[in-house]
Amino acid sequence: MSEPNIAVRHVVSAERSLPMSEKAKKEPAHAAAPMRLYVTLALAALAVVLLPLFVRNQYVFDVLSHAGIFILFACGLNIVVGLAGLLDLGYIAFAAIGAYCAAFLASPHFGIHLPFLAVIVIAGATAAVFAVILGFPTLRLRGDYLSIVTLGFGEIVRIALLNGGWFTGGSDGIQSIDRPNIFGYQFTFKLEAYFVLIGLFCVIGIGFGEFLRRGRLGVIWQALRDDELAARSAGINPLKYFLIAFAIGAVYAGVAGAMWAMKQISISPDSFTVDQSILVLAIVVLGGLSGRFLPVALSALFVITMPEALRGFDSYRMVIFGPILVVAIIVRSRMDGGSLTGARTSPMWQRLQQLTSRKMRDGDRI
Amino acid sequence: MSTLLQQLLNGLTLGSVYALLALSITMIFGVLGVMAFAQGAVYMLSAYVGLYIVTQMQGMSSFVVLPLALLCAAAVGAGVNMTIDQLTYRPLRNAGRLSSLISGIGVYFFIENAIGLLVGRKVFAFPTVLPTAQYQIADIRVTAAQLTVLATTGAAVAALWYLVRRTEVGLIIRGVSERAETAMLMSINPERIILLTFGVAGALSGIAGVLIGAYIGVVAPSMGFLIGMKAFAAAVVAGIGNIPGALIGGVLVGIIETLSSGYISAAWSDAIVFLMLVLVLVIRPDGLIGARAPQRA
Repeated sequence: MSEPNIAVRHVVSAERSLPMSEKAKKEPAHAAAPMRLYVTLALAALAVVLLPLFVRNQYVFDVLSHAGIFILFACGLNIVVGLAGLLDLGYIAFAAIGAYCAAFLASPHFGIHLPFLAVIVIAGATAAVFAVILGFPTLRLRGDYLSIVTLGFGEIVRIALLNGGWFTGGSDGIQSIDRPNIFGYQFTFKLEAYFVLIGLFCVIGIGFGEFLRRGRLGVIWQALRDDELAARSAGINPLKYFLIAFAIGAVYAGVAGAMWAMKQISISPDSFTVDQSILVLAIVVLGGLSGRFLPVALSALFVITMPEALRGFDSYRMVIFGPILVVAIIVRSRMDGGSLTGARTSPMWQRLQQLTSRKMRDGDRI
Repeated sequence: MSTLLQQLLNGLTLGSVYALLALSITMIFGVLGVMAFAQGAVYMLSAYVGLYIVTQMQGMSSFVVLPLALLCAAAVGAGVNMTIDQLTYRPLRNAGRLSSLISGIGVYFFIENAIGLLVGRKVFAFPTVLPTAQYQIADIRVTAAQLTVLATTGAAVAALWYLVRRTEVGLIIRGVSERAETAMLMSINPERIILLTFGVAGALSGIAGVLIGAYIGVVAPSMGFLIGMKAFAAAVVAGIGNIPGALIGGVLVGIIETLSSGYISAAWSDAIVFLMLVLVLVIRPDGLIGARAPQRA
């Protein structure tokens, strides 16, 4: 407990290096992601592109595309919960904002038909703007209060969509959203194309997340998460970095929500209930809450595809995930011998870490 | 004017029940520093217990049925809440507060969906147990059901007040809330007090469940979620951990809800309640009364 916080020491050096020359910026000790991660991601991208050559079953692509959307949700929430340690219980609201952006800007609803990439960019940006609007007043409250306020925000967004009249289409939502058209390639009802598109977005999302985690932002977030007071005394402005985490997390949700809308072709407020927020949270918690992105992505893949493998499991999903959430959090608290936001200094955790990572970098997972 | 008074009365009735839930949330926060997310599920479960008792004893006088249903629901609520504490909060005593919150969320979704699977997700009608008489006082219509709800919540709050303020156990609860370490030096076992508090909170939630089920007339697995959030809002608005504050907060939330559904729009009333919560927290993070600042996680 009395051990000094390594993350904070790192932040001190990271902050101090700020006004220094380019040299300091060029090679921060922890910024270089290990080759292994990039190779893994490149292989995953290759597998995503090649899979349609071997599999013809549309159902497989439907399930995997759905899982991919949740991988993006989970990666975004991982930045907020796993890295920055902010418990957001209304996360799916940002996905709703992205999805309705796509529905407004690429459907006969308003007669606007923007191209795919423009829709994706606007959806992500709008979600980020809402995150900043919500975050600016509320991120000063943290812990329990923040989670209750975000829960309320999620409900407000859903109620607003439900009662938006002609503007949001009410409980029916919005139908016949445009299928994507990327550089002249028109998407049809064939799901392979969606799978490849979403799969590549997932690879980029995981890669970008890991890039952030290993960079200066990631170290600052983890320092704030582990010991906010120490991080503050190192000159870090918590509100600024929490806002950045909130906004980047919302971009993931907004982009994934827009792709969800364009894959489903129709969207309604029913898709964005609090159950979905909790499902994404369960995925992130099952991913280990270490801040790393690959375990979270695998957890999403598992949680979304499992009910499909076991038919009829779907109605039991929330019954099973409730206890899983409890057990996962209890096991985790045993593992690091401290708090969710506490530094991991217990011998048990250190031993586990030595077992799992062959070569520990200074400033890597702390 | 008479509409306003009528709305205020309706809001007071609804708010008095919110206050019971807010009291249970605030008491648990007091001794444990944890936002008890599962409280809404305990409330919903107890409403089903009440429904079962009332359905089983149909035909008997409601003077017998209602107190019995309230007692059984309170007992089940207390038992369930103590079990929840032992199974899901106790292993996390030394972990971070967010761990306990996530654990509580897991419990909430387990109970809601388990009930949904067991008895179905459909809405059950609650047989009439509250008296149906109506009185006209000036321009306001006062129903006997409202009076019964107000009298029951009043009695529960009075009993709680007596327990916390006038008994030795209450003194110990307050001591543990204030500083658990010092209480331990006085050879008090905080675990027993925490368990007792969960029991009392569960009983309050149970009474609230039966009252709302009987007053509104329907019971459904999803009924605990929104009301749980409103109870959070009520507990937080006046400053969490503050027992009289939770009472005022509950009534305030109930009145805001009925006024906004009466004068603005019923569809938006929930959103307005949460908007008020956000505003209060942003302007006064410690709540309107706020003697106790929330610790940061």
